[in-house]
Amino acid sequence: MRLPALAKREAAPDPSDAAVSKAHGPAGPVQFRLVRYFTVASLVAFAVVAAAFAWFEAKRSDFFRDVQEREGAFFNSTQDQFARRQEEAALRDLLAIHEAGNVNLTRLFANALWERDFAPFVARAASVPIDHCRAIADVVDAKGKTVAPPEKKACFAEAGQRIMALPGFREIDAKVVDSMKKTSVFKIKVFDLRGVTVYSSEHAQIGEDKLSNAGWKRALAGTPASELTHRDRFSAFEGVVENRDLISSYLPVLGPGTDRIVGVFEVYSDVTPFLAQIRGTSTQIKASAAANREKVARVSEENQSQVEASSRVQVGSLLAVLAVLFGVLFLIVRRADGIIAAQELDRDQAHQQLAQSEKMAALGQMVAGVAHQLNTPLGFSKSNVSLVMDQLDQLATPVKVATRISALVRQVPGDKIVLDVGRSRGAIEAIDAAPEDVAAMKEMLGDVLRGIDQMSELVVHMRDFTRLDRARVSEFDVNGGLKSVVYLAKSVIPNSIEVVEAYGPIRQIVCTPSQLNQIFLNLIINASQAIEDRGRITVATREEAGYVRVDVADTGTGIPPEIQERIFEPYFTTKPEGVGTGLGLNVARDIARAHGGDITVDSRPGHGATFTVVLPFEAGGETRAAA
Amino acid sequence: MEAGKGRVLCVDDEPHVVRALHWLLRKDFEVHTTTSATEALQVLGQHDFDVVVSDQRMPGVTGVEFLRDVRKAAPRAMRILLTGYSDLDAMLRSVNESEVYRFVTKPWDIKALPKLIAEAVEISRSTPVVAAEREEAVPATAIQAAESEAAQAHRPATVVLRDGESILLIDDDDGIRRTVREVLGGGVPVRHASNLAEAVHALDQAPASVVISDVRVGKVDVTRLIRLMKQKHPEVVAVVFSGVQDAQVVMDLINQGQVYRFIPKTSKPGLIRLIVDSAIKRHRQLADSPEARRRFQVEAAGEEARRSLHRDVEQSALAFAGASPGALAPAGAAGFVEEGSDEGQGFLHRISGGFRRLFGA
Repeated sequence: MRLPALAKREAAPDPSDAAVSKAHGPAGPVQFRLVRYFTVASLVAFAVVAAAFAWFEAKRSDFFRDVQEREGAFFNSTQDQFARRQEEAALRDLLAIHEAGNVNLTRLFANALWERDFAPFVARAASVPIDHCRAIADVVDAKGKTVAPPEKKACFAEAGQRIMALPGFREIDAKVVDSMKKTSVFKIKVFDLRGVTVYSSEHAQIGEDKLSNAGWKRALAGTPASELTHRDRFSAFEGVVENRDLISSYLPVLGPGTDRIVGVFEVYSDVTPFLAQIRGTSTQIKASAAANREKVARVSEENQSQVEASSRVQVGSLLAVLAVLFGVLFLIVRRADGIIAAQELDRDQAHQQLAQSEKMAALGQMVAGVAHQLNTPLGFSKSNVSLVMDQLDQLATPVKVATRISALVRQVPGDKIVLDVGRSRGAIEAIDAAPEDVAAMKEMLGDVLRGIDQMSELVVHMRDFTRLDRARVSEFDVNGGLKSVVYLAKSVIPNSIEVVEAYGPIRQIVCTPSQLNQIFLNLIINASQAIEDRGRITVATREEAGYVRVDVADTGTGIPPEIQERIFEPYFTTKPEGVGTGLGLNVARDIARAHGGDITVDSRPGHGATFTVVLPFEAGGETRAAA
Repeated sequence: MEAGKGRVLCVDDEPHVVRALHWLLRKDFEVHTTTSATEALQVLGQHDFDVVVSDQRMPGVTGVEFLRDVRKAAPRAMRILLTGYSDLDAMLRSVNESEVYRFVTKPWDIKALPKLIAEAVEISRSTPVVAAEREEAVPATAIQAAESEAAQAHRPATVVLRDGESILLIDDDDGIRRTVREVLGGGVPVRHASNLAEAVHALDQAPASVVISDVRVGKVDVTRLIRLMKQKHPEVVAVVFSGVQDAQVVMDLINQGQVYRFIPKTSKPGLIRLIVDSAIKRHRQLADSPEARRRFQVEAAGEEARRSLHRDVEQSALAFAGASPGALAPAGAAGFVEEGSDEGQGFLHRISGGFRRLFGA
């Protein structure tokens, strides 16, 4: 199940760096998209500004319209009022003039006719009883108005017949008609003090009761009362006239030489031409007023449209300004975004380069240490092999001699052999080899073998450390890894520092061993650097609730509390400039977290520090980092 | 002195190493071996050793620390540091604290090492121990102690030179020049050379008692000058500013230059004064007892080094003469500039002559 995934991950070019950068990705804050944020925020802000401005402009326009309307209304009402008043005044004047005229006419008329003709006639008419007619009750008609019933009217009409039948009627009528002929007076009525129509140039109306007539009542009280009426048909002296404007005046008749009211006249005079004239004038005024109104309305309309046009221009200008502003800001922000992105990229690259160089520095330091450590077995092995080679030269003659003797022994039976050493004496005498030399040589070569073993051990540890020939993610014995790391680290750290290994029984975990080895090496070297002279580093492991826990404790100077928080930050270092990049612990933490674990520190100044790495059993490393 | 084989003590925590050394050296020397420094110090009290060879990396103690103790306990013994680890700091301390005779790297050469030890045995037996080694003129602890004001108070305020003694400072760093002048005080004649040609010229004019030098002036390596000079003039005491990061350069300075002290560039003035003062004393001892000089004998620097130095000196001379002809010439030396029709050539000849006189043809 796991294998295909493993094979795939193995293909990654430089997996530890990949893991580091991956670990950085999710760990960092969500990327701030400047351009998008700016665009949305500024467009919303600009839209709000534009809307508010448009709203104010609309309000202003409405207000202006309102003002204009009120001005127009005021103007119109003024004009209307003026026209109306003018007409009213003309009519009032007309009425007053005609009333005055009628009053005078009545005086004349009364003076001419009353004493001789009307007074006796009125006196006679008084004999005609009307009280029985008045006694007939009024009725309420369909419209709710109190009116005289037909029998009552008939009663009065009958009384009128009796009045007309009275002597003198005909003379009076003839005189009235005669004297009113060719005047603007169309009708004359005479009422007695009872309110009975004793005379009317329209005979049908004689006998009518005026008791409840307001005009009659006023005239009886001494005040003339006039009103303007329009009659479609009217029975005038000279026949029926149509469509006339009339002024009817109830006028008190004073007894000659006295202020006593003796009767009431009603005079209808024709004012049609006057009224037509007044109405003409009035129409002109009204037309002029309407024209003015129209003009005002038009001007108001123009003003309004100008104001609205100006509003639109202003809103439009504002929108244009906002658009330009947005454009400029957008360009700036986009450029800034580009620069920020480029800087971000640069920083990332620099960070990765530094992380890489940090790793390389640690590795380089280790390689140097290992190389020099190799020099010890190499030194004694080389020395021994060279010595043995030199000594082998010295063994050449003894071996040659021994070989000869051996051959002789084989050829000659018996126990005694005579050697002729004539020519070889010098060489044989020069033999300077002791039997223990061979033993010594064997010992020397034995040491060489052990030297080779030491070198092999070193190579095995190096291979275990780098694990380049193994799957990147695999089951890993953390204790074994730590042993290799400690072995290699010992070549770098001073001998005055004792390294104690206290490994507990822990299970194998699935992880990226080369990365964990990197962390362990980093922690152990850091620990050694924290120890100023002599001290002890304790590397311990144990299992703890689903986790493997690795403690690297030193007896060094410890870490002040105020910087404990910061030691895992990138670029934070207490080493002199140029010595550390400040990325070692940062990268270590990234790796631990990519494994689903973490790294923490516990330290009291003066009492050393303990770095603790916890790793879940199924850490995986890159698996998690990629997820 | 004692007849018979030279007595050598080899100390290394790796038993195979001491066994190998034992096998290598047993024929020519009386070899004692131990795998612990503590044990070695006990053995040191029982026998009079001519040479002590120590590993640098041992559990609990470094070779430098051990040899420092050896220097106190057995000042006659020549000290050789054997190391598979070019720890620059350890190398500098091996000079300043242990005054090692040689610095040998692993794997060692089986022909050269016995020869070196034989030479050391011979020197140890034939030359007296210089006084400073007994009284510990510049003890290791003084280097730390000198950092404190209290220690400075016990030291001479100025370095006092006798007639004929002089100090040559080879450095193109104004800051260091100023510091050295301030430290030594106005009364001390310090000659100053800011390039190789000036240095050669100055040494040719008058021998220096103490040469204080940087590793490089400009881009030119000065250590060859020191090494070659020590070869011919072992009585000149060399003090080098240790702004170096190259272990090989330091090793060459130790083995071929017998540098007396390395001064960390960030040193306090008190330490510089202390070192210069003790360097002057060392020079007097060497000047007074020529036989003692052998204790500070150097490994031959090689012809190649001499040739390359000569080339650089010429180039330096040309560059310098071209830049400011006559600028170098002090009042007494004005003549040689005027003589030549070509000032640069005249100067060059002069310098080349000086070079030959100093370092051989």
